[in-house]
Amino acid sequence: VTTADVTATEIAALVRAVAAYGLPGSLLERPQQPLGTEDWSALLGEVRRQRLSGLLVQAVVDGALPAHDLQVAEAVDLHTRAMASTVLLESTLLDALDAMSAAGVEARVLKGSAVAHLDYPDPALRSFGDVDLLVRSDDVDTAVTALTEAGCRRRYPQPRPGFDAHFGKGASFWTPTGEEIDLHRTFAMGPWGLKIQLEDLWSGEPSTFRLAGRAVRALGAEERFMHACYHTVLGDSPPRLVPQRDVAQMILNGRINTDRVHDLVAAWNGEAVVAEAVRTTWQTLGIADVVELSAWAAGYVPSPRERHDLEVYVEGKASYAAKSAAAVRAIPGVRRKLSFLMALTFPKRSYLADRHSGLARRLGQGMAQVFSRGEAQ
Amino acid sequence: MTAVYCRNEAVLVRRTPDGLVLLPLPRRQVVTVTGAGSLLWDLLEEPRSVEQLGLLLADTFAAEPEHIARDIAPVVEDLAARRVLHRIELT
Repeated sequence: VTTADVTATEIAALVRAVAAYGLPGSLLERPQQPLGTEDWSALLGEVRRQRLSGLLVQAVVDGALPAHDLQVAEAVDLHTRAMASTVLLESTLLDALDAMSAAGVEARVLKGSAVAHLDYPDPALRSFGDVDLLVRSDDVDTAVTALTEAGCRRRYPQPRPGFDAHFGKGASFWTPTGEEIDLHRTFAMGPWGLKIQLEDLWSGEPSTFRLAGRAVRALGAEERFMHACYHTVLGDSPPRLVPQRDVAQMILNGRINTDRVHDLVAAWNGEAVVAEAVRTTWQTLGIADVVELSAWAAGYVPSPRERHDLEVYVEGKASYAAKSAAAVRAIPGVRRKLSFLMALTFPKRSYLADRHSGLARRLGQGMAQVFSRGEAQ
Repeated sequence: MTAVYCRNEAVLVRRTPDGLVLLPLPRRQVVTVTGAGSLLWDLLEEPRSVEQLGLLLADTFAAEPEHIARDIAPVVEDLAARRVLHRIELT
């Protein structure tokens, strides 16, 4: 049997090629022969971890990634399991939307299911691992109550009453069946999340897609793109491949209005985030094509302050305290800054009990950072 | 009395290379169908009887419509029992 021998580094490159599969302009190379058993297992494991089974199966079925019959069967089996998980999550999504509706809360579907149905040619190409909903800040407390009454268990309580609605990214829940629901009021915690003009997320025309015969509302195309960028840069460190694929998918499918994107970027002071997301995506997925947004991103030079605020999200430099310290600058008004600091410095006992033990110490460090920066300025 | 079958609209669906992954709502059990099962799902976008399905699939499977109808009848009934399809009685 002829197989290709590849190193671990090449497996990582191959996973990136899988993530880029089908994108016009990607120059990432794939092997010309089926992988050996160990390499194939390594690839399959990473594809599972990165939730890329749809693109892997598509590449294999198209013959773009040579595979033996057993490997094809394993890829299809992995993908079928991933798809079973996504439909189960979509049923949870519909239940959560029912709970929101019954409580009089308007919600928009974020990320996974919405992007799969609205931005990809086939929703099976985009897997996801949780349910994400956006609600207005004023509705956060009602939404939290609605999900709790529906049997969901909140993962962490808020530090102090009112924190969710004013400063937090949102709240995270476990459903009775063990699935995760993330309730958002903004896209990210810390300084970049606090600079987002939240009314922009609700003033634009929503996109609509259908799930099990029901019309479901998501953010508009440009707002979805902005979220994909924020998720890429401010989410996991290093950035996961799926949000980067989303960024490329949305730019290259030609459905976003770049003028509207630039308007949102300017209104949210999000130039550094969006430019970094597009640059990272173009590099990771090996995209050679130059389009308006990629050219703009390549030419954007972040200020020292922007670089600092991006670094608090980078692995090794990221900490809750550092994000909190950076967030203080983004909060308008002395009274609100103090309210934010009070919530983090004197949280409710239930908040500390549910967080890891070192939090109080880290909050102290956060305070120290805030004040040392304040004194230096 | 004859019956026709059609898709239950309240089903979450994904296509895979060898079939479909289906979850009828309210949620109970994920159903996977392969081969002819996915063809049936496609054809039952509008209501059809087993006999009509046999006629439509005759060319695809190069077999007599009656033979196909006989083979697919239990599959269609099973999918209806799992709430993937609606069974509509015609009087």
